[in-house]
Amino acid sequence: MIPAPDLNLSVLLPIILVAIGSMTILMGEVLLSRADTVLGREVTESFIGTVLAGTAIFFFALTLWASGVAFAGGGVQVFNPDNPMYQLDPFSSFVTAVLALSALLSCALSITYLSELRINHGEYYALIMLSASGMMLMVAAVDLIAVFLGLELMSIPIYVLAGFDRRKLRSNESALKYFLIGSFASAILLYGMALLYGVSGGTSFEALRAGFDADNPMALVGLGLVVVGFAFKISMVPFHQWTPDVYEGAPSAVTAYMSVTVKVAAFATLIRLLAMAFGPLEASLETIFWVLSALTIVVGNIMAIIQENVKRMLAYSSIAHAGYLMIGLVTGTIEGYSAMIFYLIAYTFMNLGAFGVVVALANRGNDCERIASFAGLARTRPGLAAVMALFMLSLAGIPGTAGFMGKFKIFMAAVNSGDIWLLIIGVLMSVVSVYYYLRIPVLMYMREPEDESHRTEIASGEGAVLVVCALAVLALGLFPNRVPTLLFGDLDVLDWANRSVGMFFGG
Amino acid sequence: MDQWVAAAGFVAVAIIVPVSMLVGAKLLAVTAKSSSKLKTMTYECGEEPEGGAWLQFHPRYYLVALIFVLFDIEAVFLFPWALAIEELGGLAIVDMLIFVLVLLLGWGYALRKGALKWQ
Amino acid sequence: MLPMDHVIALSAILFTIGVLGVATRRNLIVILMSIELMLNAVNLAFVGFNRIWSQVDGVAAIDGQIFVLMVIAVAAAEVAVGLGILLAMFRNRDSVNVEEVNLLKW
Repeated sequence: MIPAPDLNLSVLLPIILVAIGSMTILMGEVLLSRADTVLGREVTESFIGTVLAGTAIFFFALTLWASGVAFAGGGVQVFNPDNPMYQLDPFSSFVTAVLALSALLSCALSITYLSELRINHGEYYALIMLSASGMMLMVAAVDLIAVFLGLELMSIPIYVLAGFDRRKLRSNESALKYFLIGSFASAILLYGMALLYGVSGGTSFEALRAGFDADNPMALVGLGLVVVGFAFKISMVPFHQWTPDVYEGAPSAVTAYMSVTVKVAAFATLIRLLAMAFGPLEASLETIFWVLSALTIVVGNIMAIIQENVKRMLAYSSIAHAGYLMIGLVTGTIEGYSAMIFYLIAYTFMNLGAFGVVVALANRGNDCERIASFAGLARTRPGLAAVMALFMLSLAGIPGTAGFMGKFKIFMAAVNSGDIWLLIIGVLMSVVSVYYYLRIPVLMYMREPEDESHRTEIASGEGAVLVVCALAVLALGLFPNRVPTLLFGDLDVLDWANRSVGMFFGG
Repeated sequence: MDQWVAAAGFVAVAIIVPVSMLVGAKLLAVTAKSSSKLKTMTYECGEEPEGGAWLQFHPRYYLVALIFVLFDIEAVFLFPWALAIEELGGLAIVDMLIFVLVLLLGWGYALRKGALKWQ
Repeated sequence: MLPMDHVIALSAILFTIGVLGVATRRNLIVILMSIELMLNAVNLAFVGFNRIWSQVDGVAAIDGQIFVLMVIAVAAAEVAVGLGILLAMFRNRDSVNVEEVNLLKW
């Protein structure tokens, strides 16, 4: 008789909440769509959508609360002490909280958009929750098996989400491309994991660190393949070509969700892998990351200039931001990692906001995608134009916004670890990026409106998300170490970012 | 060397069985002349085919097949569990119940959505 | 017993065939099959390596075999989703040729 392991279920609490939420929604959808009336209200498609979105938001709020409590408590707990697979520590609980928040905002953003595109199916929210639970599993994983499972649980629902508008060919193609590239990438990642297992004899990060032999070519190939697998997920140049196509073809609300959360989850996992599994190896990886980072910044920014479609432009801009983020990986210091975490939070709000404006303009089954269609928006939709201008300024890194603070932290980390050239490339390319980001505010404020029919009123969910994102962008940019909130007092986001990565450096 | 003897035996059986079947079929079978109409039919066993073979399958067929594959593959987890259940004890049964419950939810969803209705 | 080198070499060859298949074939179903081939090469590598590491610190270890079970289950889910996407697309355009997937251009 094997003694039962001493399981600690509270480690998985945030993830279990999300998983239960997704099953509740799936069942709720089936039950609601068969009922005629619920509590005296007639059951219409939009009623079902609102109820299910509300359920999703409720469960994400619970998760946010649970991971917040875990973060405040600090300390490291493992799920199964005999065979650690998942670990609840300051890093995973903090990133889980960020993921839950951005998933919550995406759900609120989608309610009206889905009925506007006539794809109001309840499975949407279940898929979002499933992929969110995958991301949370991945950032909490301390074992290659758990990383792989989390990665697939994250990716598979997003393949479906990208093709959610299944009557549109573009959405089909987007899903197909993402699926082919994604499963190819995970096969490569898996082969890398197999080689690493062959070298070290274990799949846990601890075993990898103990058994890694940098002189063994098999180990280096394995590490390289794992990095390439992740490079596809975070759209690092030269593994980025799928990004603009997938972002363009997918429904805008899905693009908003995936462009933010996948990046946060994949970067967080990469940080944990590098810090916990390959600690001593950073010197040999540094050069590779240096080159990839510089390439990603340059290609992302240059290609963004020539785009005529907002979603493609934002896709290339997200590639460029992945490049800035990688500077943190190059430094490999606690400063660099905490700057990455802060940058990811800033990126979450500004990118979600920018896509949120695109979502709020979608009208009668069509996305508002052309950059030219933003002309004169300040006259017809002044509120939307103002927040869009703010998000563009933030993405460009103008002082006073979250984007500036994030870039500043990252560049400081680069300077302090001696990567002057990376700093120069980053700053130069940021200047280039101002050109294409400012095109949209210029069009909005200095041109006459085209007679393109945007939606004329904003839904309450979209409005709330845009206001939250705009306030967060301003607050993180002006006072990152004491973000004022009405309910919880001042929040020191910079200190949180430091504390979350501090555990990798014995803090 | 024993395992090589076993392997050689396996190879020998693998060769002898199909060859003897082919030879037996050659000796016993009633063969149609190559010019006969029977020879050009899809099945030479005498059953007359209805319609062409290039018909489109109903999408329902793929749906049922996909759902079958998904549930079928879960046996991959059930089988090792069943082998080790005696040593694992009560907690393992609870674990597997939770696992099957989640699967049942998925099955219930497919059922209520009408994915398994054959019409 | 088979020498381990052979198992690893076989898995590397299978993996390479899979990668080449993804890169060169034009039929989406064949590309899907090539990805499956890559995953099976991974499985072979895991089982092979598990033979080397069947004892870790004097205790029987089956990490690699557990990994293979996970890969098998996940691959089935992946293929189901992939075929679903293909079906949705086939309904809209009657072709599974990857070169006709060209509305979105980089």
